[in-house]
Amino acid sequence: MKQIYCLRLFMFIMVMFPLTSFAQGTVSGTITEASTGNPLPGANVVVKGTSNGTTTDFDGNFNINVNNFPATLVVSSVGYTSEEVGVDSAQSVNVSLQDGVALSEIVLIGSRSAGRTAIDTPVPVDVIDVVELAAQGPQTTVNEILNYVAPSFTSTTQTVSDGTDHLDPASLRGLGPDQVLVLINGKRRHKSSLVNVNGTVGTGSVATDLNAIPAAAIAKIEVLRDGAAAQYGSDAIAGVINIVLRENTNELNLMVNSGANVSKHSEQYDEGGMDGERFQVSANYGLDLGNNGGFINFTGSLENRGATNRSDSMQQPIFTMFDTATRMLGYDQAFAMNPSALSAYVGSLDSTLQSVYDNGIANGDDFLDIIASDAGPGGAQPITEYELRQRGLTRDDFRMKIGQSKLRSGKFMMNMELPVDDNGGTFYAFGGLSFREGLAAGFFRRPAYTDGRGTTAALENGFLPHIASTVVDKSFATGIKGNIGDWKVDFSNTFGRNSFDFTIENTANATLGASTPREFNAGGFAFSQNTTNLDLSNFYEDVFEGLNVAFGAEYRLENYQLIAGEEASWASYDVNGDVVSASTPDDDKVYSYFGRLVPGGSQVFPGYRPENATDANRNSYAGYLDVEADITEDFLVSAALRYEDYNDFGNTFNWKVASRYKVTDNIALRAAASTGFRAPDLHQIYFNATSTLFVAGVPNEVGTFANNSRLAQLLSIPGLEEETSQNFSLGFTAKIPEAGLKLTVDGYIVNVDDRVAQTRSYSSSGQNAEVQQIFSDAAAGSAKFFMNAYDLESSGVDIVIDQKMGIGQGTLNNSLAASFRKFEVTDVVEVLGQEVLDDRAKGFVESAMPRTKVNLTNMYSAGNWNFLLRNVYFGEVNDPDFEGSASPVIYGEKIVTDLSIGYTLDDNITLTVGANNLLDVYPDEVPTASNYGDQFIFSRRTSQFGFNGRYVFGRITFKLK
Amino acid sequence: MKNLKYVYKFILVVPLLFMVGCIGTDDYSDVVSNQYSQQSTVFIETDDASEITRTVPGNVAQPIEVGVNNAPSSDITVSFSVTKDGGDAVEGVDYMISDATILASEVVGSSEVTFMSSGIYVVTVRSASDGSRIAVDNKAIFNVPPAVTVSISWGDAFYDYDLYLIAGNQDINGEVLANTFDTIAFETFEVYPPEGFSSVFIDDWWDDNAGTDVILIVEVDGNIEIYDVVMDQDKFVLVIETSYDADGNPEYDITPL
Repeated sequence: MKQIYCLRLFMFIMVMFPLTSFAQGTVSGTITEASTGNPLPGANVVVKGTSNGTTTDFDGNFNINVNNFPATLVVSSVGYTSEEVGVDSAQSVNVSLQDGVALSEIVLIGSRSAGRTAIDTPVPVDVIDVVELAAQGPQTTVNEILNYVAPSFTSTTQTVSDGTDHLDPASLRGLGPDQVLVLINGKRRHKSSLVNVNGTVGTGSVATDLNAIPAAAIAKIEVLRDGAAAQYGSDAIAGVINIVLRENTNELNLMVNSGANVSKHSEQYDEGGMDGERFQVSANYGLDLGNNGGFINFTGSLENRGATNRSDSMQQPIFTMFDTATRMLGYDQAFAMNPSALSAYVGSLDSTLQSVYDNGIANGDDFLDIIASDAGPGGAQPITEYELRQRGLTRDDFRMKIGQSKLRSGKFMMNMELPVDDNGGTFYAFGGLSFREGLAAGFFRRPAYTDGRGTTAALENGFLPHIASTVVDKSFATGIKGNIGDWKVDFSNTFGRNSFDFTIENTANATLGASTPREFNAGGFAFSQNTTNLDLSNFYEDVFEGLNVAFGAEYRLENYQLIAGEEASWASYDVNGDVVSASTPDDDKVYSYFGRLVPGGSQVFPGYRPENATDANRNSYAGYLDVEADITEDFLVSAALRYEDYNDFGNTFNWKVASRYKVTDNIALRAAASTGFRAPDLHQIYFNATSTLFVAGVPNEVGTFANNSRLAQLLSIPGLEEETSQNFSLGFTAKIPEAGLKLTVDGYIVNVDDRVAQTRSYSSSGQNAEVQQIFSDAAAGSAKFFMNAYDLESSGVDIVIDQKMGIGQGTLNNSLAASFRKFEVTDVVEVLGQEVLDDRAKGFVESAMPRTKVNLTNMYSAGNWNFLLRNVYFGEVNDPDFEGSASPVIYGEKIVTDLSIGYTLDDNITLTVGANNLLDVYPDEVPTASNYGDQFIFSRRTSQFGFNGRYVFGRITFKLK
Repeated sequence: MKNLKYVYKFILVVPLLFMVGCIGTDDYSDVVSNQYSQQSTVFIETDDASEITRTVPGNVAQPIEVGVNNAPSSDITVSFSVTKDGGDAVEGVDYMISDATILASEVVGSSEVTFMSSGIYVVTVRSASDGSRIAVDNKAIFNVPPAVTVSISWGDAFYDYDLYLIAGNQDINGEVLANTFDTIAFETFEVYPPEGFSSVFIDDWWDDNAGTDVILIVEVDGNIEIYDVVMDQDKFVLVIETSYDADGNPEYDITPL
């Protein structure tokens, strides 16, 4: 309670402080709209050359203190052309602003015509001013910024999910991460090389790595919330994200950001403290190239992100009697004892252990069960408790790392344009290089793992294996654009490559016992994409009220590589140190004390085997025609056709029509219908990760088989084809200048057919003789595949309201963005008599992300002060782990509050402090019985808003000219 | 302005130092405990998955195997403790056992135990000649059921009758479990009939078929039953159906024919 009082007092002081500032020499006046004469609230009035400014009130009136006369007042407002007015003394000034648009309001995406304002486009587009948000908001990466700003965009950091820990799967309108096309400066961005195969939102998909792009390099992000495959090609089913890079010159922008999670669950659940320390420095600088508007802009960014951990003490059994014997006798010496002797020996060490032994004998339990089963009365774990005491350890020593992974990154981005003639000819290039090292942990290999993966021969207390990912992302685009006659021509080539390399650290190959290495190169992936585009467009002013005709072609080359790891990362070794093969006698294989075949390969992440290695290519070409006509000043119609041909699965033809009709100057209706597609990613076609188990000397392959594998053919699993979609949207836009308010409401339906997904794991067990023969012929024990698996029906409504108003001497910008949606998985394909998706996989698609999300952002600027208050409502989500069960688990809706306060010391230095999730809100907890011994206290399956808790930060921004 | 530049430079350098400083920081460490010892043990060697009681006949040597968890450098002699029905068993009266020897560099050794009366016997390792070895008290448990003594006697030694116990219910082709071939007027054997049916058969060696009166005596754990048999031909005279209760004790259902 005291904390809340202090917080309120602090906020009150922060809000009131600027209002108490005053100066002398007051200029007053009224700002009006030139076309109507109506007063213009929320208009900015700034003394030129200073940071001294104010905004108009609801009646368009303002008062501003001017220290030195003569002075020039700059009057501006969004949607109007700025005016400058000279003042010589304290006086009254009235200014009328003409209609116009601010540069940042112009939308480049969704139309190949000249830019329109977001409110004039026939399809919904959000324009996100990253420069402003990166300066004021707590979020620092592209995914984070979009998650808290863009309606219908969802992305959270995953945990204990291998490579996905370092690449946040992002979703637009709740569709898959691979159903969003990402552009940089309008050019197709390559995807990540990682296919998500862990149990997270977006499993089975290949996302674009947005975090490879430094936020400091971005001027704005346009989010097109509508299908656009007919315009931009594959992937643009849910929409398109266009990242527009900064172009500023002769200005060094330096940002130093530091923060940490200061939360009630930091470091350990319910302990409180600080973790997740983050330190980021970025610099952006541009130079003029020539005297014709050419520029080159560079951005460098370094970031260090600490790990967070929200687990509590490990409540799972940690030790068995075998471990007690190991401690007392030595590993090999304990192994030499028969279970009868070992259990009796351990039982004799302590009365609690004797009780375990006696109870087991009385129950007629097997000796191995007595040794392994650490189950005492009332849930007690007498063996673990005894052993912890003897070893001087606590359950805290066996905690997992459940939270944000550690990450260190360095990113570089360049953007340049160089005019080469006086006719608009411009050479341009942009590209970047990013290097990220992530470190995420897996499941703690407790000694109690009776199959030997705890590797107590080498590590008596088990170990917490880590996956170190090295993600390198390179991109370079170059092109030339200009005019040939009346036609605008743009010829470009864009190359991108993303690679993921896995090093497994602090782990072991259990079949090597005490001689195991502790670090393994487990292989990785690489994905390259080269896209060549030729775009031509012509704007006919005299046709209707304007007609834009565009056409073009695209040729794309893709390459996917799966790289094998070192032998020890995937191999099972026998007792002689030789790789287990079909000829290895059973007696020579490595078994645990409990008689189980010890799994080979590096624990937590077995490396990719040589037979998994892949180097696959694909090419495609496309042609499109795009027409956009202003039939009248009020009525806009656009249509697009696109044909694409892929050398592996065939061709596809897509179309789109869209229209906007202005009912009045301030109200417009808009609608669009389109078809779309998404080519199956090379990853999905060729990814395979199998391991070999020898059962009675017969090698059995288990794992994920490539879609074109022999087993897939034997099971009649069809080759992957494109997903197709039908998109429909209907909405209206409105603006109320008198209130400084803009409103868009858009409803949509997206139906996806033949969605590509990873199937459940199939085994031949219980199948008929023919199926068993197929598995036997392929030497497969169990198998899963990527295939066109199901249809998806998605619908929803997005509402965006922006308002600007003057309060006191400042400007208040209010933005409300709400997204409501629902999904249904239908027509799931069956294989071997079972649907290929189980309930959990359906849950990931249907309800693991909020179906409702509402964002209310209030930004107040007054003089040198800036305040940001943001409340984001995240709707309830279902835990996929409980889908289909008698007791589904729902995590309730939450509101997360961000607050930041910035102060500009002079024109060059801005200090900002603030917090994300100020009130330290956490998702509902996983039922205790299902939280893996207090480790997964918050679900790792859902994607709501993460569970890092309160993040506080401080930031210094320098601007040097 | 000059001071401001220093500030800028400092701000630029600090994060770089921080970034470099973060390299190699402890991301993980092994869970270390130093509570280890290297004790040596000696124990009953068995492949039994759970604690079981073996039913064995009395007066028949039973093997006992012992093991050690690390091979000794010199021979080890292992002695045993034996209890009967939860109390002390008397060596020479209830049982006979010899020490086991585990040879140097070997990990197993063996011995034999013979039980001389019925009862539940528990054999454990008492000690080893290498006193540093911990004798584990895992158990070898034996149930020695009471024997069935079958006797026949007749008046005239001129006739010769031989006594058989044959597996099965009056199955003349069954396995011969016990027999006697004396030539006097008295034959007897002590047997432990197996679970299921077994049958007592009297063979008239000379096939006199004289209709001689023969007294058949069956004693089980001190209880005696007497049957009169007229030997006018070779014949089965008793059927014994043997079953075991939950404690492993036999129950004999004897049916005269």
